[in-house]
Amino acid sequence: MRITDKDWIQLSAYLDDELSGKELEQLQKRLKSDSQLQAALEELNATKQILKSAPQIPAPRRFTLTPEMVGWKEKRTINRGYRLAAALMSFLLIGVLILDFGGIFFTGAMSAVPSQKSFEVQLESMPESAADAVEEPALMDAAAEPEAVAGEDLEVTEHEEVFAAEDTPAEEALAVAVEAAEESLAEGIAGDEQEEKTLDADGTTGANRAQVGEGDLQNTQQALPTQTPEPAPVVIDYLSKEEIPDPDSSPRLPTLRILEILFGLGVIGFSAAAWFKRRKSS
Amino acid sequence: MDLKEQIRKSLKGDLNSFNQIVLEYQNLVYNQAYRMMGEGASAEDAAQEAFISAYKKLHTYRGGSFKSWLLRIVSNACYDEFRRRKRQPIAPLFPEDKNGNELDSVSWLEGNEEKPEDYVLRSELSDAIQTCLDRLEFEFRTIVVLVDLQGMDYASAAKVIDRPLGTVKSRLARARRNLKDCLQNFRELLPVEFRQVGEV
Repeated sequence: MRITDKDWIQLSAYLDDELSGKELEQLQKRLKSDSQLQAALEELNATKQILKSAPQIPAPRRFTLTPEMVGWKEKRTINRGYRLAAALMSFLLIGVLILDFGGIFFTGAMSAVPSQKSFEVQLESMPESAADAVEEPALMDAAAEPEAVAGEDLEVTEHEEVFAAEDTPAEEALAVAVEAAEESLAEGIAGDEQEEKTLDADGTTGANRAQVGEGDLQNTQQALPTQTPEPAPVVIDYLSKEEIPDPDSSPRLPTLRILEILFGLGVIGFSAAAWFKRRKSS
Repeated sequence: MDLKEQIRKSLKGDLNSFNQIVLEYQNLVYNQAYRMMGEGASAEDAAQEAFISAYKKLHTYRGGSFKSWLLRIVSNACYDEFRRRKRQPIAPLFPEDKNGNELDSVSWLEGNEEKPEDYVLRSELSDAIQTCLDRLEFEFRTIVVLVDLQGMDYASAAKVIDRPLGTVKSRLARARRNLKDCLQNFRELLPVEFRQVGEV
């Protein structure tokens, strides 16, 4: 009986204990009855044993690795590190540039139309009493109190001098208002002196004099023909002191410039290092 | 230090730890390379390349048999070397000295610890086996070396050469048949117990 290719495969697997189940049972049955198959199995087994007995050849030398053999990997890692650092520096530089120029743009420093906040900042930088005078009709109150006129008159004069020196549009308007108030006050004082004489003659008490004073206030207000109705108070959201930039010293700007320079130098330096490493390794 | 620890340290870049693995496995690797390549110089190149490749690819080792993983790399390195040598045959026909001159004496056969006649006999048997292995196709040879010389089972051999189990089984059987026929030509070199088998 001729031995087929399938028989050789089964015999080979049988030698290695890689045959199982039905195949194993069938082969074992055939081996008992087929001498040719037995001979083939012996030959295959002998071949296997010869191969197995082949002498082991000792390594002629050591195959240990040196850093030079695997050095390229470390160089590549270093090179990759430089490139990553350059990329990181680039991102940081872009971020700082956006913060710098974008920050200026959004706060309105580069805008033609002044924002409400910048107007508020101007107001805040004005002398406190002048700002109060613009927003509140304090002078009208002062006109309603004739006794305090002499003292306040002095103060107003002082303010006039200060405003004249500063020469700003808001202050000029204030000075005009003060002049108008002075004139009306002068008229009021003249009238008061006449009435005072009359009251003294009648023996009027201090309380009556106060009532008279209130009447004077009304008269004074009526005596100002150019006075416009008081506008509704505007609620302005003031900046806190921390938010108001100091015009003399601005520390944010130099810091950003320094960072821009540093990151820029970093980008150039790391890129150059990566390029040199790559060129050296190639 | 056990193998796992050596691998762990090697992965962190400790070359000395990896070199300990190299020293432990270099005979196995060189034997595999030698039997696949058929001559010393190519086997050395392939073995060295295999260790360098193993170091670089160590992160791909996911546990299991390190021997199988390493032999797979050796097989691939041998295959690359085999193709390279095929394109540019540079192997000398006769042994050469360090200067590239052919050796006209048998001094290169001499061993330090073995009797010359034993060495010759062993060497001749080894050469006979190698001659027959060289006559096999590269993939058939690889399977025979893995299973019969390195003692791997079929499943591991299939993993190493990345072929189905059935392919390993059939190719091994065919390779053994061819080897059987080839070794009949070197009957006088075979041990006595094997000579009788051929006479049946």
